[in-house]
This record gives sequence, structure tokens and C-alpha cells, in this order.
Amino acid sequence: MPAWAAACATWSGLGAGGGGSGVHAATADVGAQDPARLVAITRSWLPVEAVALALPAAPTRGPDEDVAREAENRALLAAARHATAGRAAGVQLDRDDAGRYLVATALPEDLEDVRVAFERLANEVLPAAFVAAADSGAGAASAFVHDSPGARFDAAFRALLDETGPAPGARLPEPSWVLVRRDRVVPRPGPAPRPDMPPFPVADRERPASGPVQPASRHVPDEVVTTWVGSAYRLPPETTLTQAHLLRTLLEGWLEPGRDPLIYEFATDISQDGRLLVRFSATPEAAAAWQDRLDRALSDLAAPEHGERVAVLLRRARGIWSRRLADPAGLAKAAASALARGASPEQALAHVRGLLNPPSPGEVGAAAAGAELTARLVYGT
Amino acid sequence: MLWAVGTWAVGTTGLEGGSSPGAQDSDSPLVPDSVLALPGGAVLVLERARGLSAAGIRVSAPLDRPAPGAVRVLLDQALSRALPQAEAVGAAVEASVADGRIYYQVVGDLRDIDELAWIARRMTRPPAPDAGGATAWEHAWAERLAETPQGRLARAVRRQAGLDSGDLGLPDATAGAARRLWLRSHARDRLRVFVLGDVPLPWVLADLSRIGAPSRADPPPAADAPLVASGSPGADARDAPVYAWEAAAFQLGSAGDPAALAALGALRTGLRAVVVPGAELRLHHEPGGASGWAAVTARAPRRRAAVAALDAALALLTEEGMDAWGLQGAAEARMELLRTASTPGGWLALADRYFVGPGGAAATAPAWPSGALARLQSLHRSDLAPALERFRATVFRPRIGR
Repeated sequence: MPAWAAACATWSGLGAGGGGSGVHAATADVGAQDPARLVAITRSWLPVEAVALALPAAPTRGPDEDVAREAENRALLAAARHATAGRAAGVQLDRDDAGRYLVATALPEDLEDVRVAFERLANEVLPAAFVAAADSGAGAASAFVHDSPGARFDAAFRALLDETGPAPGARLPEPSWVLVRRDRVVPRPGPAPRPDMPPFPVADRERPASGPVQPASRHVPDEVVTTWVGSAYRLPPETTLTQAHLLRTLLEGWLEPGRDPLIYEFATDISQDGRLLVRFSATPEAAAAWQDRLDRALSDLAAPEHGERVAVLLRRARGIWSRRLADPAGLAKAAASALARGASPEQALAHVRGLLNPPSPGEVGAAAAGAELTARLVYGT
Repeated sequence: MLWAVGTWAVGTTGLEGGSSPGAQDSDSPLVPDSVLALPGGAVLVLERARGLSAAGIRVSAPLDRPAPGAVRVLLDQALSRALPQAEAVGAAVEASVADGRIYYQVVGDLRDIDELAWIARRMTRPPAPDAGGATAWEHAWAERLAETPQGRLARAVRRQAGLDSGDLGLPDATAGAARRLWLRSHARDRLRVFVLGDVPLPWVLADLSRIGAPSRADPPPAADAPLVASGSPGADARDAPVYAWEAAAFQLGSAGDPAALAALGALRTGLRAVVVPGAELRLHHEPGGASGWAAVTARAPRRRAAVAALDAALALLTEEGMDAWGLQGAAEARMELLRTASTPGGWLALADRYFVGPGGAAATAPAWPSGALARLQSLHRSDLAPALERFRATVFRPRIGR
């Protein structure tokens, strides 16, 4: 057994309800990458396997960094596609607030070659041709979006998050790996599952002693017909990443923004520093009303009298996450996003398992009850 | 026992009978475990996906001849009935036409399988005698399409494919037409019911074998009251031009033909290598093959660049283009097939497309998704020639932008 085998985590069987599942030390030969940053998940029914490389990244600061990051992403994706050409592999690049994720789905016989190609890309300088083409493409694309109100809102909201978040320069987690394979591929399960799998606390690990938060509110006026609103909520320190993601899903189900034709976009995320982020755009009148509605929704979700509705929404969330994680790429991405936020491999496994087996309404309600608005930006009239 | 009759088994369910054609590997996730043809009833297809947290059900019915108005009524009413229940359990529902069949599909958590079956039964119920929202939906949809270049392309393609009549796309339908279509196409012995999930066969039989209309029933007389009043076609509300757009569309033929999929994959791969400064090329293809067409759009700030980009894209539809990108195209098509099969909804769609059994595909067609995959793995460049020829013979260039 390799010396590092006990450090990486394997989950054999992702059945709903926890049947037949467990967390094991891996004995699989999965390559030479740092085992402390590897998660291997196996499932018996799997037409295609997946590998994800999580590349944690600090959020960009301003439009120039946006363009540079976009160029980098394009070059990385083009190089990854080139390196896996000829294999039956599909490569995509996903992003969220904590980093970017190179995800490939492939036939079992091709997966290891794809992983090796990714590893090479992560450790070597990208070929100049891809970088040049990506620079050109990103530059051309940015010419259209650079000065758009939406881009200006993004930059202003990002600046406000920086001001109200942990000091910059915090050390990012190392790149990490997730493999999703058919269970016959990973040969021997290790020790029995650990029932006391530690949850991963998402919220503000560097926050000072608790005390009331003074939210930073900012209005950036602009003569546009749409108003953009960004809000950041600090969650209680004991909140797990799983609870934070389920809270996002509950919030969307509670508010049902798709039913209001005056809401144009509505998106939620968990920031690298563990805050719940909500961004939406709407008509100016609707934007004002929806700020109140958003704040009220979080306290409503925590109210005991709404426990029944929250339980219904948790069932809905279970269905949504079950569908997302049925896709091996979605499963790999979910585990990778936990790793990019600093979770250990075992915590990342606990996270994806928790998404399929949601906690009680009370647990998510506690996260909602403790949510504190730390920043709000209103962009527009 | 009901399921001892007219049954054949594939794989591990332990049922008696012969093997289904195409059963190359009983352990393969690309070949269903069981196919049951019930006398006078639907064909039931079960894949026991052990360890999968999700489950899905798809019911499909043959669409013998185009009836877009009546089909729209069926689909709209099915979705109206299903969406509230599906939303409550976080399930995804679809109702549409693919590969010449009307289908209804629901995917959700395995623990909600009884609700999923209930939703599937609700979706396949006979149409109500009122208009529902079908026509209002269709009008709104037609107007939305007119607002964007991509939408105008979709309209042009659907018109070319004979799926739309006129600007609104929906011929008037009557209650009788919708009812007759349902009775004809949803007769139990013409339906296929696919189940993906870790559920036992008796559950499938108990919950899903009575879907549809009684077989060979005589359609009762139905009032032919118009479902809707004719609306006036919506004017093209063209958006303010920001980009110049160019488009070309071509006929794919059978949506499941591996050679066509590989040639399409070659085009998609080749497009990534086409660089015209400032221009963006995109391939549009309905995976379900509803229209049987694919299209390429070019978008650029200047028309000259858009035209150059589209010309460069069409240059890929040549023997030289296939020489350069054919291998990668086949690999991409293989991967696309596997990617599709990796989601519950995609698996159900592929199982329906490559179905083998009573009323299924011709003997030369791939059997089950595993057969299509094997065909894609053994393709030679010369195999792509007929598909390429069809693409080139049917190319047309609709005007979709300024």
C-alpha cells in the first residue's frame, strides 16, 4: 500500500438514504498527485467516469483582472481539450466564487490518461499558442462587456466584498482532485465508515469574536433602466458547507424569483470566505421591494411556525441535488468545490453525502437565523 | 404471472426468456436490465441503476404523422398537470417530441419514486376538452423567438422542416383532434415505458403498466369545437442590431445515425479551430432531434467578419474537413453519447432512441445505446460520406440578423 493511501478518501456507493455507502481510506492507484488533496468516489451504476481538478483562485479585483482571468481560463480549457483530443473525453471549465474547476468525463479506459494530461497542465506553463489565442479572444469579448452596467456592478460588488471580508492575502488551498469511478475500478475498500465524519464549517473562519455586524451599504448611481443588487450574509461559525448550500436552495425555493416577471436574474453562491452571496437584477421598483423580501426570507426560514414549509422545501432541495449529483461531472464538481474552500477530502465526501441526505429544518433554520447582512450594493437609479 | 408472458430479459433480473438484441454486456449501463412486452399493453424497459440517488421515468408514444397543433395541446396540458407536483419534490419534467415520438419524462430523487410515477401517470392522461394555455403559450413563444437572431433561426429551421405553419407555428387544433391523437398514439400497446432507478420490477408493473388508453379502443365521438380562436401573427419585434449575424442550417437525417453524429462532431470540433477576429461561431443542434436539423451561426460586429466566419465554417463540410476532423468528431460523438447517458434524463432519451423490441428500430439500426457506441467506435472516414452529402445537399442560409 502506498504510504499516502490512508490520507485520501474514497466513498464507495452514493446511494440515497445512506444504504451501502461509507467512507474508506483508498488503496487505489490513482497517480502521483498529493494524496492529501484527493477524493475518490465510486458508484456501481456509472456509464461514464469523471475527474475534476479544483484550482482555488482569489476573486478578481476589477475589470482588468477579469479579462486576464478570462484569458487564462480560455487558454487552460483550450490546452486541456488539445491534450485530451483523440480520447473519448469531454472537458469543461466551471467557475464559482472559490475557484475554477477543470472537469472531464471519459470512458473508464481513458480516464487515467485524461487525469495525467490535467496534471501536466497544472504543473507546466501553458503553451504560448493557446495563451496568445486566448488573450486575443478574451480581449475581443471584453470589448463588448467591459463597460456594460452588469460588469460595472460585478466590479463594484467585488470591491465591497473585499472591503468587508477577511484581509487579502489569505493562503489559498492547494489544487486538488476528485475522481468518480465505477466501483469495480477502485479495488479494495479500506476501513469501516467513520460515523463521526467532521462537518466542514464554512463560515468566516477568520472572523473576530462575535458581535453585531454593521452592514456596509453602498449605492452606485447610474442612469440605467435596470437595478442590480448584491448582498452578502455572514453565516454562524458552526454552519457547514452543506447547510450553506442547502440554505441557498431553500432561499431560492422560498422566494421563487422565477415567478416574478420583474426579476430578470437571480443567483446565489457561497463565497470563498464562507458568506452567502445573493445577486439579482430587476426593475428599480421591484429591486427596492426585493431587498426587504430577501432579508425577511432569511428570518422566515428560521421561524418555527414555518417549519412545515421548510420541510417541504428541503424535500425539494433533496430532489434538486439528487439530480445534480446523479451526473458524475456534477458529483465531481460538488466535491471539488468543497476542496477549493479548504475542506479536507473526508469533509468533501461528507459534504456531497449531506447534500443527498439533508439535515433537519431546525439545522438549516439555525444557519438562516444567524445570517447577518455584511454588505449590500445597489447599482442603478 | 403477468410478467411471465411475452417477456424477455436482459441481464440480471432473473426473468426467463431470450436475450434482447444488442445485449452484448449484461453489466453494461448502456443496455437495460429488462424489457417486458405485456400482451395488449405497453413495453416496459427497466434499468436498475444501483447506487444512483436519482430515478427517472419516460413514457413515449408514436407520432405517426405531423399534428403540431394537437401535439402542442397534449404537451402543454401534460406540463400544466405535472409542474406543481414536480416542483414540490424538486423533480424535472419534460414533454416534447423527439425521434418521431411524443414523450413525457420525469426525473427526481429515488426516494420520491412513487410521486414520480404519479406525475408520469398524470402527464399521460387524456387531454381535457378546453384549450388550456397551449395557444397562449405558443403565441408568446413565437413572439419570443422573433426577438433574437437565434430565435429567428429556430423559426426558419422549423418552417423548413415542416414543423411550423405560418408565423405562429401552431395550426388551430380542435378538442376532437387532440383527443383522437391521444387515443391513436397513446394506446397502451403502442407505448414504451422506461424506468431508470433502483426499483424492483414488480413495482414497475404495479405502478406503470396501466398508463395510456385501452388498446384498440374505438375513439368516441368528440366535439370538434375549436380549442382556440385564430390569432394574428405577431410582427417580428426585431431587436436593436448590435451584431451582424449569418446562419446556415442543414438536415441531419435520423437523429440517432452514428455517422451523422460523427460528422456533426467533426464540424463542432473543427469550428473550435476557426479563428476570425471578432467573430463568434456556434453550432446549434437539438439533441432530441425534434426538427432533424442543425445550424451554425456567426456573430460579429461587422457583417464582413460574420460572413467570413460562416464561410470558414461551411468549408468544414467537405471531404477535406472530414479528413481533418472526422476522427475527433467520432470521438466527440462517442463522448457526447456517454455524457448524455450519464444523466438519468439523458439515459432515458437514449434508451428510447435506440430501443429494440416490438415496434422498435430496423435491424440495421444500432441496438440500445451500447450498439450506437460500438458503431461510433468502428466508423471509418468513408462512412461519413453519406451524412456529409446530405448536409451539403440541404444547406440553406436564412436571414436572421441585420
